[in-house]
Amino acid sequence: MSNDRIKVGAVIYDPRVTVIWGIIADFFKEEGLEIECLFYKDYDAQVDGLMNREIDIAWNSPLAWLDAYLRTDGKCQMGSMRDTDRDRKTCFIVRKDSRITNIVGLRGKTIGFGAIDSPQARLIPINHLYKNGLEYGADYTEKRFDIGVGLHGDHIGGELEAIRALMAGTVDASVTLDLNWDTWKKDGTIDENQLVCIDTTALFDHCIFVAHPDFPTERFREWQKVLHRMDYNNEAHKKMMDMEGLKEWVEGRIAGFQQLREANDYLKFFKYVSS
Amino acid sequence: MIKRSTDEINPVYESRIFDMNFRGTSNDLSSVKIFTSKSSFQIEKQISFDLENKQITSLEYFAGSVLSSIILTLLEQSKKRGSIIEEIEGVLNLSLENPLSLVGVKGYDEEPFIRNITVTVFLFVDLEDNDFDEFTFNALKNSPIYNTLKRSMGLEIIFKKLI
Repeated sequence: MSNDRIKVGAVIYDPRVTVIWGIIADFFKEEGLEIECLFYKDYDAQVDGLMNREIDIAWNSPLAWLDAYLRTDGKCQMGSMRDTDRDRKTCFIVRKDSRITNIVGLRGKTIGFGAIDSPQARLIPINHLYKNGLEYGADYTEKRFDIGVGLHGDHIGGELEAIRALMAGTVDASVTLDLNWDTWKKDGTIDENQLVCIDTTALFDHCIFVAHPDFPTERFREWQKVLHRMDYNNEAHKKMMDMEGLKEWVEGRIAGFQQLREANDYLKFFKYVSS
Repeated sequence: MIKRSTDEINPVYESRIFDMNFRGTSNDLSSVKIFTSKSSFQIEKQISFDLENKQITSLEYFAGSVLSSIILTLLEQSKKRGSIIEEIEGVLNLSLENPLSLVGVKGYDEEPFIRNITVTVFLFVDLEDNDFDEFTFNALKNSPIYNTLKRSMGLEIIFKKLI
């Protein structure tokens, strides 16, 4: 019986997050499709787990999606994502009194980034700067806040430290995901009168379920069909969906990872040969 | 009659040691029922990371035991001095190290343990500072749980006098 369970992987850095996966597992059991959750300490280990079939499906960061995509020559299967994973953007923040008014004004400045492997707080914004004529390693100084390396920016610590450095005046600008920028303005973490967003990246997508190329596609479809039955109006489902930050599961798409692929090519983050 | 010095007195075992025994059973092979001499209580989990969990866990009983022992020893000493404590409240902060080992995250296999405990006790008591310090210090001497844990882990007790 246990062999029939679909094995789903997730990266966990906070034990409280396992509660979410417990609720998801219970939900699938009630729907007659049992899953077994396996937890990993970082995305490298999770993609390894997917590649060696320790798990069938991985809840991947965008960078872990790219890792799996490259390792499988593009054959890994793309699954669902949260509604909130779609159409995100990174904000470039400066102090209002800095006289920096646009992205070009960051030339020669020190920019605070998140962790080395954060798509939203390092890789994508570096690519955005490059597209605007600012070369990495030449036209600005990178000040990185490597908190939670291996978690691909899931932990907000790096972005938070970067914006604190901006407020303290030790960097000239910082980058952060739009959702964090909005939250910090609302909860008072930052003073909106002191800081301003001068530019944003184009829209990109975030986390996504990824299945191994050999995992039966029909089974993956069936699994996703059940996943999409989660209903925000159902009180039992709402708790988990609030904790995971979504109102509905939506179809995944890879178009939203284009900027990340460009960033990877530009920075040669993964040492794979592009197909 | 020859008067013997106290050093020569060899008290019986019962005078030196109070033994207590507890029985724990698990009929459902899931939860544990602990029997005291006249009562019992059920524990389902060592620890829960679910903020909405209502069942008291082993770790919560442990923390409650530490905090209650410290507050009770202060109250007992207060009564001996004519109930000098008018109000008392305590807060316990506990840091559990390596929690991810407990939830089976691959890559984490170090033993989970309590790194430190800080107990802050707020007291409304009419004592001068020196007397207050002496009172709290002496009261702690009568907490067997405090005296045991202070030998084995980082345990800090902070007393704050409410004026």
